[in-house]
Amino acid sequence: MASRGILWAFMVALLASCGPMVTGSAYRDPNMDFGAIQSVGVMPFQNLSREATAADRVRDVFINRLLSTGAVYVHPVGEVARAAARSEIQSPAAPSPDEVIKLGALLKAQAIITGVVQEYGEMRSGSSTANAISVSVQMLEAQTGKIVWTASSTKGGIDIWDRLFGGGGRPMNDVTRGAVNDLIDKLFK
Amino acid sequence: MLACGLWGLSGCAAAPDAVTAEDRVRGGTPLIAVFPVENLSGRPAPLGEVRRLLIERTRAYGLRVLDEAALERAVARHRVRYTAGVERAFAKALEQETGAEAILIPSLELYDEANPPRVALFARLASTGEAPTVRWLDGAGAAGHDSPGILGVGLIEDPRALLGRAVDSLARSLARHVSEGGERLAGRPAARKFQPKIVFRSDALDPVRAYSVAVIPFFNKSARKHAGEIIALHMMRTLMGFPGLGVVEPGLVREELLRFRIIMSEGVSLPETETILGAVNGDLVLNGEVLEYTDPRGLYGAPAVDFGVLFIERSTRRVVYSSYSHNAGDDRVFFFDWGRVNTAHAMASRMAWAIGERMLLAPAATGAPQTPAGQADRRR
Repeated sequence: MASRGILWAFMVALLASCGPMVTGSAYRDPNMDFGAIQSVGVMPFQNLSREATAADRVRDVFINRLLSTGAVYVHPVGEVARAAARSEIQSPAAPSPDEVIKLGALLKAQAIITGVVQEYGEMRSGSSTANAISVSVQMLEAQTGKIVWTASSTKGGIDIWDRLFGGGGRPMNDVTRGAVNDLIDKLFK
Repeated sequence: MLACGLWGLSGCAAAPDAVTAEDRVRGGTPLIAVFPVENLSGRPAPLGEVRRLLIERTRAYGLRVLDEAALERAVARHRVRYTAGVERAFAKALEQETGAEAILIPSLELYDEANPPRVALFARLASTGEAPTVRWLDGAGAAGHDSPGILGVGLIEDPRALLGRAVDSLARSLARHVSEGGERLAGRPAARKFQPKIVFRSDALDPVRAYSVAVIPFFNKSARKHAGEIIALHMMRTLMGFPGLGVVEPGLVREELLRFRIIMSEGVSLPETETILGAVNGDLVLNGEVLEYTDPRGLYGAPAVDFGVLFIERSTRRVVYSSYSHNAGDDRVFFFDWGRVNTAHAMASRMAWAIGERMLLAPAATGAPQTPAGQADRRR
């Protein structure tokens, strides 16, 4: 009887070890006081998709959405570009911690946000097509250059409805707004 | 019976209005110099014909137009190369040398001869003298199948006929403006679907206060040539429709951008905002970017417009309004093409008007919820 119990325990442990490790799609620095952030600068997003204007589109929606929350002030993109040029940043889409500190001082911002657009556009599977987006953003504290928040979101794609009935999925703009809303929700959670 | 029915139907079609006695402007009309047509269509277009039609229709409505030779002499004497706007020195010289009190600047947005044809154009009236200002701005955009009617009796297949209607509606609007002593054009409330999708509006923006707005050409990230200038014209037209708002003549803004050698790579910065607004004595600077501005060709497909706007205030040095808008001509169209929009011009003008409403009217007046814009959008 005891050996059967040990066998059951072993089986359960084995099954549990085969399961995927569940991790969140967001990170928040527990020591960071997010209430102290009054203004942020959003750097140009890095574009890893095939659509040339994807990064600009997603950044534009992200800035407007962040401003519309009323929680933080987002510096105009022209002001951010000017600060990046003055601090001679080689790659504005991926600034180093030192460059973040310089940028923060020039903009008088408490945080800098960077982002990467991994997927943007139509995806195909068999005869089905749908629009999809995958984007990740990170917030760096302007005083230290440290990452205090990261989040990623993937929206759109082919679901069971598209496979069965076609239809091409939701428009790209709606999918983009959905992903950006998801990211903002993760920031204010 | 059939003939009677057809006669009745043709009466219902949107025929160009004849020049009536009421429309004619009598006495005391300003002398207007009509500039060459700015081509924003990105392809060859009958610009000479558009200008000739505009002069003809403007005269037909009783307005006085400056003699062609006199305008040419003034343009040649002052070596004016840029005619899509008015520069300070030329505005003053034109008034002194020819007596012209205003300049009419036409801009052709679209001229597509494919079936069905599509035409879109703007015209604005700027004053001459020491300080030129925009007095009137209107636009017209139409497709040949906008009002097909029963059995297609309302279809227009001739692009010249469509152009004639568009020019006539602009000339009529100008004549009405002059006869009514500078009354502003009031737009219709925009449908809910044309409202901006994401909005930020600062409390610092006072809907009662008078503002002077300097419009900087929008950044064009779309495939359509001159889309930045087109959206800037749509926004100017909207702003001119709200009382208390004035728009700085774009020619003056361009002059100052060149004088201070301001080159914007990504957007307007705060020092540039201060420099421009200081030079033209403005309160707000309007800038933004256009991501899509597409007109379909032929019968199939729908126009698509996608842009963001940003207003920065001079005194607070902060963004006071920012929004993102996108629409397609077949948005929320389910049956028999009801509610379909056939030109990007018609759609963009409604989208721009919806931005003006959200920006300058009290929330209750626009039917928007009495909550911060962000929260309202999130609930949707």
